[in-house]
Amino acid sequence: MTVATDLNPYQGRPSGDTAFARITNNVARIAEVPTPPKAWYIAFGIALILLAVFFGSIGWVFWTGIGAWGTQIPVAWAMPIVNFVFWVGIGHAGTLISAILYLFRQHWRTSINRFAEAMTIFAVMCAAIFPGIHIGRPWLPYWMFPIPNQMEVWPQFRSPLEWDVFAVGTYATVSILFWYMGMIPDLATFRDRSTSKIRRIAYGLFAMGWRGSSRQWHRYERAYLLLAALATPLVLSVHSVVSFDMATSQIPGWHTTIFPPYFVAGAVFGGFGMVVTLAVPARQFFGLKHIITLDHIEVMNKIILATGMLVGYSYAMEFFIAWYSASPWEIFTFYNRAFGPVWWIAWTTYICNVVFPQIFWWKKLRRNVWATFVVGVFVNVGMWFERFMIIPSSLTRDFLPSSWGYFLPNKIDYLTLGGSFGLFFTLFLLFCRYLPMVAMAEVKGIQPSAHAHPEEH
Amino acid sequence: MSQVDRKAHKGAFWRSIDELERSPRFQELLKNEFAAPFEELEPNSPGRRRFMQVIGASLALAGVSGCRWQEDHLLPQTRRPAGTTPGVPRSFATAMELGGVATGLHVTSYDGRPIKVEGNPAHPGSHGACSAIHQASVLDVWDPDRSEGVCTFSGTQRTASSWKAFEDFATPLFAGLRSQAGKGLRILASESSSPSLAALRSKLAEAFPQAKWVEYEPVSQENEREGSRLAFGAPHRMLLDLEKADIVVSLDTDLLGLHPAALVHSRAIAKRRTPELGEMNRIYAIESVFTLLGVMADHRLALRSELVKAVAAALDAEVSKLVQPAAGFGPPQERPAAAFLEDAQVAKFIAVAAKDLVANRGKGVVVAGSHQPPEVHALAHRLNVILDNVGATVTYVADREPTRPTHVAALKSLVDEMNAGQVETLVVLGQNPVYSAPADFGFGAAYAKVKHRIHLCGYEDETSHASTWHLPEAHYLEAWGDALGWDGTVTMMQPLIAPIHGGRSALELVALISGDEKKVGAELVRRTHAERLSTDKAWRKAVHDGFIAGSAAPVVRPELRPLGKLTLSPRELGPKEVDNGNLELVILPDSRLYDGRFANNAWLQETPEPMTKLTWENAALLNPATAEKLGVGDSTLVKLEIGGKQLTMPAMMSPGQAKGSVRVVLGFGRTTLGHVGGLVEDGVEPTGVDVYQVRTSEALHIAGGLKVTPTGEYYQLGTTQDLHAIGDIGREGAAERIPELVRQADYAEYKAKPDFAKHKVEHPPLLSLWVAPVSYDGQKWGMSIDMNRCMGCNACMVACQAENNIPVVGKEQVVMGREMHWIRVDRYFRGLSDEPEAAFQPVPCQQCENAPCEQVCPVGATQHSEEGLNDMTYNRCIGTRYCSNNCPYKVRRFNFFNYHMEFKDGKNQMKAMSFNPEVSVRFRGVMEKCTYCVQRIQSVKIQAKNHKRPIKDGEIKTACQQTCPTEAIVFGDLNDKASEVAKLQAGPRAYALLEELNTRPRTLYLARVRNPHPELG
Amino acid sequence: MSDKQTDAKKSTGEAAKTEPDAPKDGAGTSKGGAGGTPLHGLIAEYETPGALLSASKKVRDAGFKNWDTYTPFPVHGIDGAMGIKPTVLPWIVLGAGLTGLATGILLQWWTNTYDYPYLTSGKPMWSLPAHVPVMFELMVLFSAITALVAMLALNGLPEYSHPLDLKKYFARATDDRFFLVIQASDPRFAEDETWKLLEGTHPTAVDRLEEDRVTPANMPRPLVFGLVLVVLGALVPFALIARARVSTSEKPRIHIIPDMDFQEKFKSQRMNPVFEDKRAMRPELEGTVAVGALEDDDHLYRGKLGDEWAREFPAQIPISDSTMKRGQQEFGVFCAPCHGQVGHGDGMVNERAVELAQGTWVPASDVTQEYLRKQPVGELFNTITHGIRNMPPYGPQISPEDRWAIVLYVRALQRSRGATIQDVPEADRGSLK
Repeated sequence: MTVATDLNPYQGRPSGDTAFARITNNVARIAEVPTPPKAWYIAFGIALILLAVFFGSIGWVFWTGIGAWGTQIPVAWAMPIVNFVFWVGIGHAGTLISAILYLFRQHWRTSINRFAEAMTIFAVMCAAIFPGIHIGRPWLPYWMFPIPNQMEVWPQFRSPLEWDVFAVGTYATVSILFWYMGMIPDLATFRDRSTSKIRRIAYGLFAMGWRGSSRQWHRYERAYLLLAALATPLVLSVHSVVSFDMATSQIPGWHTTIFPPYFVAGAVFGGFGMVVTLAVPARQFFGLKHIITLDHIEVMNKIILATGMLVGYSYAMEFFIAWYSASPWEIFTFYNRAFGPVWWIAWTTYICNVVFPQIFWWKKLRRNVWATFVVGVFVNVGMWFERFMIIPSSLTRDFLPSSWGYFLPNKIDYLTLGGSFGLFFTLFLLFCRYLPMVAMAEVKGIQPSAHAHPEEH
Repeated sequence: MSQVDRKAHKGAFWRSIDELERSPRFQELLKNEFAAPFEELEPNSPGRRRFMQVIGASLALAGVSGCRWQEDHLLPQTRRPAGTTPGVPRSFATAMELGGVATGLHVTSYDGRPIKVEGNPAHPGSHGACSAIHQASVLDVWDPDRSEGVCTFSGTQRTASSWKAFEDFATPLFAGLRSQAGKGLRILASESSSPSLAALRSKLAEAFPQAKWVEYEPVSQENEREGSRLAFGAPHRMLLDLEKADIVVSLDTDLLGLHPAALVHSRAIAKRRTPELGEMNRIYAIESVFTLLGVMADHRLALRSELVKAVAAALDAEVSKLVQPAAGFGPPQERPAAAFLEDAQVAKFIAVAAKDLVANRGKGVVVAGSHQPPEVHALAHRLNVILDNVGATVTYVADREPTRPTHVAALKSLVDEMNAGQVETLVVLGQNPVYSAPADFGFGAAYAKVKHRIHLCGYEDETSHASTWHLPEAHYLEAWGDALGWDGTVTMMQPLIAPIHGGRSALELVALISGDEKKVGAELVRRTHAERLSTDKAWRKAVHDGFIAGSAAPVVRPELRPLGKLTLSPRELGPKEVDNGNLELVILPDSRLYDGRFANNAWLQETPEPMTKLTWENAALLNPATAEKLGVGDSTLVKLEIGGKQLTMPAMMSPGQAKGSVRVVLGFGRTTLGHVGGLVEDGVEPTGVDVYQVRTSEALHIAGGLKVTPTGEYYQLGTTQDLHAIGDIGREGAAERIPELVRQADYAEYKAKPDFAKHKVEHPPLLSLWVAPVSYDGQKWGMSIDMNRCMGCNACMVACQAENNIPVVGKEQVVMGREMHWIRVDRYFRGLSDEPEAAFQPVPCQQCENAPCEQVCPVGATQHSEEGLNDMTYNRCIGTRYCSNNCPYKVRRFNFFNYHMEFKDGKNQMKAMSFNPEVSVRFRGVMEKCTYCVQRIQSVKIQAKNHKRPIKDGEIKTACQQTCPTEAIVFGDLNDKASEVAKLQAGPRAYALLEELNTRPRTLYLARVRNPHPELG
Repeated sequence: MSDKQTDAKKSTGEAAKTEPDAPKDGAGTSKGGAGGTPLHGLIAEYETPGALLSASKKVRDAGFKNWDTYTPFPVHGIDGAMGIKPTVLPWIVLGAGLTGLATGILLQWWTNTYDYPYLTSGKPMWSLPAHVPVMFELMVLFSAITALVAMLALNGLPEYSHPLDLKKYFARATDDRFFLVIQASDPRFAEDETWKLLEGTHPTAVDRLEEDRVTPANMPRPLVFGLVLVVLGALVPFALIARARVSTSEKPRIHIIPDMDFQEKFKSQRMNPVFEDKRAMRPELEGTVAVGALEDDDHLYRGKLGDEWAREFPAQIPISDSTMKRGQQEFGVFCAPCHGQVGHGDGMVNERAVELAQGTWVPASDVTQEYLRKQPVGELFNTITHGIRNMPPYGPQISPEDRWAIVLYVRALQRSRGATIQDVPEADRGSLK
């Protein structure tokens, strides 16, 4: 995707007399061009339409009742929950890249962590909507929060759904804090570069008077380290808790101890899938090739390959345990999953998530942006199907044959799913337009010229 | 489908034919599921509109009063009648008459509104039980589609009128007729045993000597009546004492289903199906259609109905060989020279049955089905006589009017007279002949020739629109009346509410016609029984009891006449396998809609048919093998051609349906009735297909020469079970587990090891990580369901629906698996796919002590009570549906929409009157489920507390238990060791469904025990 | 684009030459702005982090306290070079984390086990494992929020204005330049020496940094106003709710979604518009007999024996102390208001009615008077059941058993009227004395 420079103001070498200045210019110009190119507007327009579809479908469901979705008995959890888990999964790479890689001092993270974090937050926003609207009385989700009331009725803390409320809530909050905190110095940069009063005030407000004092940097770095240290177990806990929704229940195909690691691996996998799907076009389009280099892409592809195989292992292990447990229910469910009426769901999952990433054994392909992008998309599809495979299709055939059912999404289901992407991309495009897409300060920090040795005279 | 394949599944239950099918048709069906049209799932497709006119605004922003808290009005009485307390329900004895037979009922009245029907425990025709139809009848009182007043029709022109206007018209008319001795006056009435009506008829006969009274019922016991005439010279009614019967041989009967005495039969037979209570009986069923008795039977022979005659003859021959009948009884039948009788299976079956009957002389019963020709009945009578069963298990009472012609004959002559223009005035009481008369009569055309066509009916139906006058008939709960029970017991009917739409009973109309001085139902009935109930006291007592004790008809012992040799038509001898064009069509009343008169009853429409689990429509049932032969796929449309008439309807494969026999049911396809059953002029399509179109007077029930042409067109049937084809894997999986769900053994095995059921499933000891925080040492409610007694009649489902305000959702939602019944009756098959055994398993909430649903609710909307009830707090529920996911029994039901929307608008507020005020009406988005009728538990507890006394065992009855004809369901306090339920749960047959999950259910099942004859084993 | 770049360049690098207050290379001769704005400190600019580091070391060794360096990114080793002590932040966050943990435990224990115990799936009222996730999440949540807030607080952020902002070239502190500032407030600060010291560190430039007298010390009104407005706006809904909770209103309360507060069913005595009389309550029909309401025992229910008034109490009514007490109780409830506690017809209602003397009132009779004593019990019972004169019927309100009990009590009252000591049992006579 090479856009002619005249069309795309983001292309061309960034100017600046020092490496630092070049980085600043390279990133800042994205937010500073007076008008973004048509491509951005087109993308944004599409995103807005999808967003309208999203709220339209939700409105219809709210008005008529959730029967408007295909959800039924026995499949009482269908598309909304699938979408929820899918988006929460996406929302993992960001914090993972920021936090865990930070702890491991993986310097390459600095070029991608910012928008990975942004992606996390927007994904979690999409996810957070679904539990609220999928309930039968969507005007009452706040009953899941421990709000003091004269009835003395409280949430029931044994319910994994209640754990979700806290896990996802905490995760969203912490991700936002982490993201914002990382942005403070860059916002200060934007403020100091701003030529218009509004920009100055807007960025100034959020930069909170950051001037890069070393005494402040000291505390800042410590705080950042602490947040990273907190976010790391958090990111692992969130998808574990989400997996508890299934793991702690009765249903064969759900009642599985492998779920927490399985889900986390899947989340990381899917998260990176989404990162590359976004990063590849972004670096091309916004002219960030100098910052997000092929090396970065390659590292991410390695992670995709690794986590993809973890996920594959989980799939295999599920089948093995089903057989090994000698539980007729389990055996039946998994036999059914692979060869039953919904076999195609399972196989789509396996192929997208396990087979396709295998191409990354070849360095050439690891460093090929096109291959990366395609696999990234497949991984996203695969991860969505994985959730579909686990949640509705396990429900279709549980213990009593008399109550077996079959789930088929209907129009509204699809509209809601599609619409959620609208929300995601709307937010993401706004982010690209107005906020520092790359953590400038951190990237500068790892420049060779930044490694200072006192010059004695 | 290959033989091998069937063998593979012998002896294990499986769910539906699709599972056994491997036909390409089925594979296609699998594909179809992915191509299912979305429109069908849309909330406001026409089918939905049938129920929820305004689904769109399901949120119902308070509807009436905008966004503010609604005002509520209290309208108390200034002077309260003695003995009543507002809000304290009272119950009244009355009765429902169907086809001339009354069943005693107790009807609960809340604030003067009938809201619930129960059986009258003292009434010999009820014993406190009642059927789904009785249960649902209360809904009709509140049906907004009921006719709301007198009106006249001229052509298509409908003009509202009044009783006053009618009287002004009628008085001179009938005065005129009286002067001509009633020439040209005909009255077409439903069969009725009402003494009062009889009295009025005799008055009428005096006043109008030339008038004729014609009785017609589309569904009747005429064959039985004619059969007894053949056997004894005069018509008699056969009363069975199945409790005394060790051997029951059923020749194509529906003894437990729609038989007028089904309640009595099922209560009696259930006692003999309980090994703890003594020796079990043995049931032989020879039938074409899988009946409830067939499911209970120990041996079932699936034969085309037309072959049963030959079987009966053969049976007579066999038996007569063994017992030398007295010469007076005439010569026995010779064994008919029919090839199929020599079929090893058939021959053996007959031989063993005969042997068994003889071995149990005086302790057996042979009975023929009401759709079998008179000869078969006559043979049954003969067999009972020569086997000395008469007087022991079989008794007879004389027929009310031995001389009256059969319904069909009477109707035929009426039609002829109408065509001949001899009828000037025809008064139709209750019946709907335009819809239900035999097709070959052309009743409609003839009817049009009559000058004055007066129709009394609860609905403006097909006949009303063809009449000149339509008169609203009072519902039986609105009118005084009387009728005779099956055994002739004089049964009283008192109204629970004044006629809501000013309807009048047939009694009152006849009184009007005959110019009787008395006009009011109460007085008419009182007068009839003046001598028997001379004093006020006696009268009050009769009304209070609902019947006159000891008024049953005297038992007579008719003399058996020699029966000539039966003539058997070629078809009746016909081969076991017949080819297309020669198939048999069996036309039966529907187990829910009867002859169609209940078609506007939503509860009944949504009640699944026992064997097929089909709701909202009828289908042509075929044996899978036959279907395969004809190239008919399950859930496809077929064309039925018979006697030059044809009918297109969905086909459904029904294991157990006799090969070469196709079953259809009456009662569907109503075009002019209401917004439930069908009202074409209002855009509400009929439910199902009208089978009367192919029903002729020669072949009312069994018709030969049927041709079936498959169209191959897929049709989504609205079943509540086996909704989706589940493929081989599903079938095999089900086949494996079903024997563990429905545990069963032979009688011998049971005797050897009574607790066999407890060893059917091997699982590790069920340990818990913790000790339960409660000891349940107060009351500890529990339930037991005896699957040996359960006959799958669905009475419990409707009773529960009435008691607990359970919404009706419509076919489209049923197809999506969204039906709301709190107790469902699962039906499982076992054995060969085309002639399997079957079993029923009612599944309400199991009230698990370790309820999986509770721990997953984030808002604590479902919690455990100190008495071990799994309580559901509707107001707290936000509808995450997690509980339903986690329920292994899938008994939780969810309000996907506001299914009560339409109750808010105008006329429909009438419907809401049927609601039980003691039970919440659930809003959209709320989970619901069986509560063990907690409202009943509480009300009894309060009474007991007020009187400072303990609760007696059996004092609290759940709705399902109370109505169960076989007493299969028992509820009570498990801590009271003397209680029925405690004993049953301690008994050997008790087992918990899915006990291996350690949910510790409070509802236990009692395993099935079959009693096969060793030689048929 | 490129021209914009040069602009930016001008505004920073070249500023040194053009601007009046630009730092002079070499000797800072001019004794800074005598009589002008007071000096905040001296600022030096460096090209590389290395230069800044060595400079920092010098300044540190010179023993300065109030000084700081400004860099676009955290320069490695600057902490040591400047002698910055480790921050207390981690300890604050630890405290917050523990608080979160405690909150998690208390919240769950108090709500589910103590305040409103849930009996759930036969599980113990309190079991730790099920409650771990929420504890953990709250711990993390508390810590994370604290980490950010405490960091800002310790850094004195947000900070609106700073003298450095006056120097255009300082904008590069967030881009690619490194600055060092020594404040005049430092005890060791002496302009000339300090100037020299800084020049000794090979800066690209040194400059005097005046106190900020241009920008107001605190944020401009509109900005503050705007922020306050936003905050207040966010509070409005809560304020409304709070108000609604305390205030009263004529109109019924707002209730948008009916949920199950207005069910379609009809409870007792409710209204149903489809009927003319608007009543969902329908009258029972004459002549119908409810189950259990047969009442065929004339003696018990009507006080009759044949056509005669019964002179005996029915067998179902035991003539016992408890019956008598019951009678007394019921008499007190239903009869005494008119007939008086001992039945002399002097009940309060009666007194009042007589006092009003409206003529329509027939005074309540003395139940102990002669003709009533002679009346058969059946007739008394009948009077209670159906009323007499303007006494309303009590049949609907009092169960027959209780009506009989009242009769019994009335009999007792009648007996007590004009009773002699002989009527009192021997044993109890003492108590009368």
